[in-house]
Order: sequence, then structure tokens, then C-alpha cells
Amino acid sequence: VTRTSLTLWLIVTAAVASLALGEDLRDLAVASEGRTVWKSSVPPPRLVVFEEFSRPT
Amino acid sequence: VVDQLAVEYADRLVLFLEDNVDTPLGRRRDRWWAGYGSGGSVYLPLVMASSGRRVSSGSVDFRTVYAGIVDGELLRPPQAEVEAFSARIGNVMRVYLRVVNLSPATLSAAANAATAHAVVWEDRKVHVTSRTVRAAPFCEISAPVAPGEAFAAVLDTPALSGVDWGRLHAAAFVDYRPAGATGAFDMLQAALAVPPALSVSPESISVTGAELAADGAVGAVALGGPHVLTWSAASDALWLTASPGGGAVPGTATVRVVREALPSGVSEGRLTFSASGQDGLAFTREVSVKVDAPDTGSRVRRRLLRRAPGP
Repeated sequence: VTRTSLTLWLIVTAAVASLALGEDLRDLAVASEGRTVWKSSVPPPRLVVFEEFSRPT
Repeated sequence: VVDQLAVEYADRLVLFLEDNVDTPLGRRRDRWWAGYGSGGSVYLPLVMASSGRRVSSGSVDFRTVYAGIVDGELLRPPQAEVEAFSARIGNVMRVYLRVVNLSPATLSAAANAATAHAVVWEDRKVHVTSRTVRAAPFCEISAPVAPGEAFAAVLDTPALSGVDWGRLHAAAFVDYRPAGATGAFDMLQAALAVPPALSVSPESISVTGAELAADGAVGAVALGGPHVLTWSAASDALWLTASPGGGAVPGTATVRVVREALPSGVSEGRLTFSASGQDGLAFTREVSVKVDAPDTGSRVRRRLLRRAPGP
């Protein structure tokens, strides 16, 4: 098994596992040298702040 | 209705807060007026999302209008990365905030009124809903922050009294005026504040000798936490190093294996990352490193045996 095919296998395996776990594939990056890392390059979704101004009753 | 919406959106990234319209805290009520503009009459309740990018006042179909505002904002991608940590210092809530500007605009108070805010609220019904804002400290972003650059601040509430500290929470965010000196504000992103801590990622690294890079690098450890922290690294093995050996948080350390010092077979070592900063903040986290090195000794022995002259 060459390093390239091993890396490809890792990518496919990680992608399938990611789908199974419901993870966003954009967050997954497979580095060279066989090291798999999870990248947080994609910012998390927006946290919406909803504010109400009221008067004590 | 807002309490009902808070339940309905409990599993979404939405924060519902309530403020007293007669005692404005920080710049929050100003943001509503900037979003509304002028003219006409306004009636309670005043509501806004994203620092006044969307506003409403008076009697409306509350459920439909408010949910529409929230849903619309949820669809928008954030324009900043925001990290926030909060800690009680005496009777003050201190919020450590760090923002990376992902928007195309350069943020500055002079050009677009860019401001960093924190809001501290209590899970307690005082007026209408169960999330009452107690303080909203802020600071203007005076030095320009270009796209991709970071800004950090420490925001303190006034001394808080008559609150249940166990029910207090904090969030932080940054807003600015996209149109420049006038017009509505927009919130780039917000974050719930968490207790200060040092995070390391990954917490373990495992490689085989065949995977060792030429320079011995086996991975990078990302260090996260309040920006007031500085960190240093220590190794318990001669064959294991982290470079740089220290720096500011957030930061990254490259983990390397010194090939010449690496024993044959499986070796396990540990890097200890220590971080400390103001307010007595001090943390320690460990990263374990496991290397399965080729048995160089036996390979040398095999080569020697092959070279040995036969009888």
C-alpha cells in the first residue's frame, strides 16, 4: 500500500465517518503524512442576539 | 411571546434578552434608535436583532414578526470570529473578548463606530421575560482593525448588587455601522462567554516512524483561552520538543521528535502546557505523544549480518 493510496483511504474513511456523524465536511481536512486533523476554518453559525426593551409593570 | 420564542428556539443559536427601556445600559438602547431612524411615533415594546439591523416597535403580530426577524438573521453568515470568557472578580463580572474581523470592512470607531460590547444577564423574571440584562459594558474600537486582523479587550461591569451570581451569564459581540458614520448598526457575530480555561487541541498525537517528517514534526497543538494568558511548554522526554517554547494565547506550538534521541520501538512522552495571566488565571494541560519508531537497532544488525563474510 503506497502512502498516496493510504491517504486516499483515510480521506474516504473520514468522509464516510463524518457523514455518519452528521459533521460538516468543510470542517474536515486530512493532512499529508497520514495525519488527520479537524480544522475549524469555517466559522461557526451566527449567534443571533434578540433584545427587547420594556417597562416594568 | 418572547418567552415562548425562547422555548421554541432553545436548540438554535438565539439569545433572547430583556432590558429596561427607562434605564439604558451601555449602548444597547442607542442601537435601537440608530436602526429605527427618526420620525413617527414609537410604542413599546421596542425590539431589535443584531444591534438594530432589524427593529420593531409597538403592537404587531408578535409571533410572526419576531420569528421572522430571528429566522432572517439566522440565515446570515457571521462576519467575525468571537471568543469570550467571563469571570467574577469581586462584585464585577469581567469579560475577556477577542474578535477576528472576517468582514470586508476595516473596523474603527472613527470610520464606522465599531464597538465591542458585553451583556450580562440574569435568569430571573424582573419585568416581562426571564432573562434580564444587568449590565452592558462596551468599548469603542479606536485602533483600526483591518479584515483578517484581531482585536481584544477586557470589559468590566460596574459592581453588581442584588443579583444571584449563580444565574448570571455573559455574552460578547462587536457591531459597527456598515454605511459609515450614520445609519443602522449591524452585529458581526456574538459569543456566549464561558469560564476562563486553557484548551489544547489535539490532546494526543500518535505517529509511526514511517510517518515522521524530515524535520521531525509530528503535529501542531493549538492553544486557546483568554487573550490575557501567556503559555510555556515543558517536555518530559529528551526526544520530544515543542516550538516555540512559549508565547501568547491563542497560539500554536509545533511538536517535533528529535530523531537522534528517539529510542527504538514505542516511545511515549508528554508535553505540559502551562498558561497564566492577570486575575490569577493559571491553567495546565497535557498533550501525550506516542511514536512507534522503526527498530533501527535490528535493521543495523541485519545489515551487518548480510555484510558478514561467509565461511
